[in-house]
Amino acid sequence: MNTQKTVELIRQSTLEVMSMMLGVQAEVGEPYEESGTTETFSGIVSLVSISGDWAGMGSIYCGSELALRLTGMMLLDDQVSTVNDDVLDAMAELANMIVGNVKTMLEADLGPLSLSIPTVIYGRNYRALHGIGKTRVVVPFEVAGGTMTIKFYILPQASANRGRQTGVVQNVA
Amino acid sequence: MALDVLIVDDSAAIRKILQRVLVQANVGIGKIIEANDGREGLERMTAENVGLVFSDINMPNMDGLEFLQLIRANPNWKNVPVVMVTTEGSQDKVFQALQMGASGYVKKPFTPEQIREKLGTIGCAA
Repeated sequence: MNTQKTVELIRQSTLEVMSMMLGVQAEVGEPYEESGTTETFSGIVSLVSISGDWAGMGSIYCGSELALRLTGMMLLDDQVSTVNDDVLDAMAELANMIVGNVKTMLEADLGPLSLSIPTVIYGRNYRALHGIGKTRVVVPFEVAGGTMTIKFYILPQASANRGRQTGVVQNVA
Repeated sequence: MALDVLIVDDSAAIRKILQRVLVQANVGIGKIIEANDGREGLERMTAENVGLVFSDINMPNMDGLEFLQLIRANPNWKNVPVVMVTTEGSQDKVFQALQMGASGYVKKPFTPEQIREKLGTIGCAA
């Protein structure tokens, strides 16, 4: 899958979701590619996997403070002050919509694909190891005074299954 | 007469947003009932007098397509409008839902205007 096109689909989908569901404009940063393990992270990671003749995963990395602000915007609630089920649910739904729309746009080229129910991880000093051994496209966004990062990969099913694909959460505290 | 509306979605955030939009739309909505998945949705359908359903497709336990199929198979509910609200923008699942008797669909993300417009097309406009 062409990296430039993948970045463009992620950009389109994210800007649309941010604008329509949160009423906020996001600015896309400089995209890059990443492979191997990810850096230690504190905050929320929402993961949605894609399956079909092509398989992959989209994940959204967001610090706790930004997650609170985004949830408040989404629910029109300025009282969101702690990371609770509502916040985790809102971040899961953001991932569902952003990755879901990328999936829908990819289907024009790749054929029918399925989307998983989102998984959300919240904690301090952990690594979410997913798509191990795969090269991921990483697109940062500046939104609501913080940085939200989207990581994405998709490969033909046979390649996606090669090696360890399953996500792992590793506490490194 | 005000319609009681059932919102079926595994995301509490989407249920809250839809609830807010429906109240703001001022289109004669009565009670708003929520369910987390299709299975809960059927329980609410049985217990309440639901006049309009908004349902996600991709949900755990029972997805929106199976939920829709069971609604359409029940003589008491076969005429209740069901609008699918989904990220599944692919023609495949949307077409399947429409063939199974969905009254329409709204793609996530959505704007309040799109929900109001959809209410209009199914005869619930103010």
